[in-house]
Amino acid sequence: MHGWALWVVIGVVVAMGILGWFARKPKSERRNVTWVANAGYLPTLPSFRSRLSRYKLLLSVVAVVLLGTTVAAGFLVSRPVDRQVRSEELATRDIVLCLDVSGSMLEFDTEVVERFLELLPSFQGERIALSIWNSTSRTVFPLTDDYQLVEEELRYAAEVLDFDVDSLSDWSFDPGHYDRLIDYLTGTTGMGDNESSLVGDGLATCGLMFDEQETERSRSIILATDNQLLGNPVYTLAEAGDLIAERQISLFGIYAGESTASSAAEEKEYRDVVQAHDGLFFEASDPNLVSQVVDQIAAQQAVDLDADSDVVITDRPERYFAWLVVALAVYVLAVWRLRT
Amino acid sequence: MGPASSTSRLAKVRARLDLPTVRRASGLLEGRHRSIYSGHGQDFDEMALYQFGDDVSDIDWKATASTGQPVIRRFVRDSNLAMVLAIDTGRNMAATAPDGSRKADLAVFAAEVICYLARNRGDTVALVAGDDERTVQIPARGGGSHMEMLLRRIDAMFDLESPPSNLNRVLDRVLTWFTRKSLVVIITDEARPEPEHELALKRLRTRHEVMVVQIADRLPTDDPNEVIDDVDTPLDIPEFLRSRKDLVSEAEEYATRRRLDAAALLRRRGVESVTATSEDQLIDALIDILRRQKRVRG
Repeated sequence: MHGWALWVVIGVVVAMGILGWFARKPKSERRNVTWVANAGYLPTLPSFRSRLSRYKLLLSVVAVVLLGTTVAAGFLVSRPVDRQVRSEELATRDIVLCLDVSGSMLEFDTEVVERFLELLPSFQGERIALSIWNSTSRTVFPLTDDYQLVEEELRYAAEVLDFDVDSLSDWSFDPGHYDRLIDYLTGTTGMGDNESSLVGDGLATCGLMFDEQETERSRSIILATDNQLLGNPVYTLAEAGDLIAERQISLFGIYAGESTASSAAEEKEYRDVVQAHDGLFFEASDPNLVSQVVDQIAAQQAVDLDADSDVVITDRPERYFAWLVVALAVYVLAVWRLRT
Repeated sequence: MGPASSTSRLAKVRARLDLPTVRRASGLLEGRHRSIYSGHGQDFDEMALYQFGDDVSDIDWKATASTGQPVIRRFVRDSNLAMVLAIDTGRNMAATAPDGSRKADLAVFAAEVICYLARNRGDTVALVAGDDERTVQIPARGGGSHMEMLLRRIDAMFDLESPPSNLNRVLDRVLTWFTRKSLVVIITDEARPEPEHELALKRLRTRHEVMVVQIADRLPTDDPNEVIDDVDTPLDIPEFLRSRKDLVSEAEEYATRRRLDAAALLRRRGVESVTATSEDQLIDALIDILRRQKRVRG
């Protein structure tokens, strides 16, 4: 917390060491010395010499240990803390990742999943679910705060979805990866090949994933789609928007479509639906922008929830205390050996 | 020092020596002197019957043949028998003796005993005391006050701040200063004479009778709890290195070897020596060395 304190402690110890060095008594002024004559042979005796080298070794151990205790003490003085920006409000979030897994969206889905993987360690009480859909929906995992499971699933999703669709055309893809992707996407194309991106159905399904309706929780859907509808959905996008609005679910829409003849209309429809229900709409033409979008969503949630972020400071001196104790023990042992 | 304390030195020695001891020591010293001056053209005194202890070379064979009993020629004892105290006053002599006292005290005591015996016999004592920088010479004279002055002088020269020892300077000075045959008593410590002193000792031996009093040194390893240092070589031994058993035995071994080396050198040069470890032991050792003399009379 006070990083400078470490250097102050080290500086003080070094300064005191230097002071002590100059203040020490000159050897010739020692009192109570028994003066003997013709003892100059003493340092030449083999046992004296071997012992002297051991003595020097112990001295250097003491020096190193003293340095260690100094550093440990310095760390302690500088008050090591874990700083966490936490908001109790944010912890009541339920987030459903609602990802369109039609071929063109895989890249964006990967980014969304990866960004949530990064955010995961800061979650504490938030529940998260992952639903993927194309012509039908598949719930990968329902709303849960079992972060171990969430992390495993998100990691696997990120790995599987990170598939370059273009490699299908020139046969350069990894067949194993492709098989796993097909496995993963099983159930999302239940209505046949001639229908895809049934965005209204996908969104409605996501809207139905929220349980614990009676509890006071913030509910949001992060929807990523290109809105390239093909086929006959049960819910149109507008109807699905109404459904989730009715259920008081906030909607964060990420549009990530390629530019085509109809894309402008698709984007506009998507934007209108999202904004009609006070949702936030983001356009991410580049997969690299997705992580920023996710951050913006998180920030917006903080604002919406009027979540005063509290800085939680936890002292973490345990490690340095352990150092200090061990170093002091070694020091006492070494000095004890030196004095006996 | 006043007259009272000046007499105290020899009085102190007398207090320590019981009468039979003094008699014996004086007699021994006499025999020693006789050995020095025999055959040197002294005034002929008398013929006397040979007694046990007389030098066989004193026997007058013609007279023996004519009387049928061993007869010796006896000379008038020289009234001016000379002793020389050659004293090493280096700082090594101010260090600690084996019993914890100052070596200097032992050295002064040895000088006191010798002066006491000499005064009792009316002999003269000269002094050559020196080290690497100082030399003190006091000509030979007899008498108590001379001895006292001489002893005070010796005592004052021993100090830890003194220059280092240089026995060769002392020996060379004795050699050049005293042409008359004398009994030279060298007082130094147990590490000396070293091989470098052998030549001077050899030359000294050609002219004088020589005996050496070696004051023993305290071993640096004798007491693990005391902080020791060497007067000549700064040792600065950390506590960690004191009182190790192997170190003690190695130090003892070294000191013994050095003593034996010095003893071998002295034996080579035909010089009697005595090692003093304490005052009580010194008296006995001094008498012993005088008795060991070949020409001892009873």
